[in-house]
Amino acid sequence: MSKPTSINEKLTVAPATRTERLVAYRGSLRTWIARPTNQTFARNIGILLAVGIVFSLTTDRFLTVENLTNVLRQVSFVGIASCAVTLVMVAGGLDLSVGSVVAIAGVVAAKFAAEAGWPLPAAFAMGILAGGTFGSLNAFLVVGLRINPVISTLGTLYMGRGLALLLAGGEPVKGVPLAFNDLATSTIGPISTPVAIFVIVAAVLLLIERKTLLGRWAVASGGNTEAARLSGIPIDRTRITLYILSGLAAGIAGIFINSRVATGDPNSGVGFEFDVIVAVILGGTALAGGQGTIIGTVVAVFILGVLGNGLNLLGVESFSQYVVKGILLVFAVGIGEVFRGTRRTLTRLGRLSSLNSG
Amino acid sequence: MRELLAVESLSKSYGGVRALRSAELDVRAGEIHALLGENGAGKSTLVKILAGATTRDSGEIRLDGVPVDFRSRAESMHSGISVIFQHANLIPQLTVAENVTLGVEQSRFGFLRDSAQRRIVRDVLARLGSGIDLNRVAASLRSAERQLVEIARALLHDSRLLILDEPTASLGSDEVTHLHLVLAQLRAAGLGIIYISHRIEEVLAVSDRFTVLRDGQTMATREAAGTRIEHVVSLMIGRDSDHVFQTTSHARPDVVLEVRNLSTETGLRGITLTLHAGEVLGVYGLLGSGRTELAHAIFGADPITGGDVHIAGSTRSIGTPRRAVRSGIGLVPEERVLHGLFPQLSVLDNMSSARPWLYSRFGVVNDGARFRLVDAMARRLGIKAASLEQVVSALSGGNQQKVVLGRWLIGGSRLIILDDPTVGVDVGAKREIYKLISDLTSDGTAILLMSSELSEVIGLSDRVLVLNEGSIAATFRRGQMSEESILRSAHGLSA
Repeated sequence: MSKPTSINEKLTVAPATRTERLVAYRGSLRTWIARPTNQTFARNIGILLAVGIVFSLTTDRFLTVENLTNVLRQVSFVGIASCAVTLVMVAGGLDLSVGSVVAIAGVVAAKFAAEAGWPLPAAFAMGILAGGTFGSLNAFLVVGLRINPVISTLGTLYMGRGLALLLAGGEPVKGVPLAFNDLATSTIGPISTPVAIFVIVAAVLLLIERKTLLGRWAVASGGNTEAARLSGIPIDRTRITLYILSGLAAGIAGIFINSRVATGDPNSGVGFEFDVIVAVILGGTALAGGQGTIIGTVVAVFILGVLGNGLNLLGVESFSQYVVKGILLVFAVGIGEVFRGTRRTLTRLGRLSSLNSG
Repeated sequence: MRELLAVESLSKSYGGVRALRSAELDVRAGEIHALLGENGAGKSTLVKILAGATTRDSGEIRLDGVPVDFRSRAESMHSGISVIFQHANLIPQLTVAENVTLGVEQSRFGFLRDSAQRRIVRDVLARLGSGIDLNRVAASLRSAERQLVEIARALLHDSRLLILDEPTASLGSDEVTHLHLVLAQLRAAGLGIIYISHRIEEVLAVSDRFTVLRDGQTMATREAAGTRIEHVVSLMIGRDSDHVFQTTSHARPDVVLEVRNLSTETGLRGITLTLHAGEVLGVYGLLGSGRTELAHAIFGADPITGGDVHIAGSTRSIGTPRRAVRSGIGLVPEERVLHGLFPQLSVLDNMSSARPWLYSRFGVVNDGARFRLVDAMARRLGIKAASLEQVVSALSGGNQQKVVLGRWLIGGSRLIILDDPTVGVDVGAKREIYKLISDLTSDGTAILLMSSELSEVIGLSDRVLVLNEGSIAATFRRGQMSEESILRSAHGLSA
């Protein structure tokens, strides 16, 4: 008797008729909106537009090319790190250490430039590499030793800050060449370098998310770990890779942030990890994993950037801005949860009544 | 026909409980083979061993004549065994296409080649008679659709043997018919199929042969054609009973609990019952018939959509577990560790958790009083623990169950709801629990006994309610009931 795989070979299916294609097309919008990440995305686009319109009407300077490029430059650092952290969280992990990685990367790069006299590109590369090393440490703790990701990366957040301060002797690194500042202020064509790098990082991670095995495995590992294991998905390898990517991305953000102040500052990036996590969560990534998109995170980064910029233009001081951003996060994410709960109840009731009548 | 799977003298014990005792099973290529048995007969253990989710103690398994020994699910899967567990194993956030190809994705340099695979996935699903949109996320699928997606996955995995565990538990009748058509097609293509279900009539209609397990042993393997249900049932339940049950009723005339026309979101429909002091009211039903749901609804743990639940002497419906506890109702839940215990806490903390007012005043706990109350009850129940400070998760199943029971006995209860109280409990502890039920009823406590074990329900109950799809299918009095008549009602046949 032949092997049952022959079932696949025996299959013949008539090509779809015109009506079938039409029905499929109509259905596709419904299936698109059925994904929670897409619902969040639609909501966030709405918020972004609303915030943008309000600020265009209430200030004269918001809707100028100069101001908007300024916004882009401001969000690029958080954006670079957020995109990578998104994938870590989709795979069921968490990375709180990015704030300290920023400082480590900056201090390491500045040290190599100032004290070892390395050419700047090599020094910056060492900074990014230091970030990657921290990512591997996170991977070792979370995947290798099976320590809860919150605890592991909270620990490395502290370790990293301490290491950066020790390395730099508690103050910004001295004797850094002036050209250290060029990276953050330079442009690639008409676009400032940090913005260009943000676009590239987001594009690469988007490709990973949508088109590679790594992206698929990330969703599977975070979505239903047991099912992923039973399907032969290399969960550990997936998570290790993503933690390292997250460290590298935070390293990139770190050399830009420190290049902007023209030295390696061990106190740079304090609170950075919270900006990142807020953007990722606002962008629709589930804390429990399995759900989240790069594009969603990018939009959320823009919302937070535009909000900060607009409130600045309106003369709202930074203390109140914290309050506003906190309310936005709780409101936007919390309301979604409430609605989701209600709809689930409604569908269940609907299904029950159809069962009972049928 | 070619023999595909041979299981010979397979044994497996969990602690002191022998789940399988020299079980035998043979499945041919191109056959649907029903695996039947009561809860605890060893079906799921057998499936777990075949799936590689647990290992055997002794015995032999041959697949296509080659001896196999699976140490992981992956090994079993690579040998061509696909298992569709009762609770679908899909990634809720991935689409249909992504779920079907999960683990066997085609890729080049790490980049997915989805479009090539999508065609195969669509073809396989079409072959299964399903036009499910490949872009829908698994979370939005109905259970019938999920099952088809899992079957499609099994086909992509080069399966030789497909095991379905209770595949029809959540399906409507059209969906069941369709599933059976699909299975017949797969049989024609040469797959071996093991089909596990409680719905005997349904299984017999679609199977070629069937095997009955009882107490971990294979009772018989027969041709399905022309077999009568009564015959299968008698194979399943056997005649011998190890337990001696009380024969006298302690029921008194005064009503303790009254349930009128109760309906819930969880699927109960129009349940009406009355429970008297000292009475044991048994509730029997198949998986998914609403047994546990009824226990939860009466205890106020699930929201009620219609009808009401009254404790005697009160006009208010119970509504919340807190009010149930305050009115003297105790629940011994089916999921002992998950719903019944605080696994990390001590015996003392667990047993004293229900009625803090017995040993506290103005919110301040009197530790001495608490210890004395628990100590007395632990002695009375004969709980075997190193000390009352021992963490409860370290105890055996039987002792854990006594801890849960003891919690409700401290201070006394008017009604105790027992939801499958003897599952995962050794024989000795089982006997003690039966004795305890008898003692309690003679003191006037009413017992609502949900059970999946027929002999237990019949042996202990003064009356038995049989549930079928959320409603009461029949009521039997002591002396009128037989295992056959109860099973027939539970299957929705006329008694």
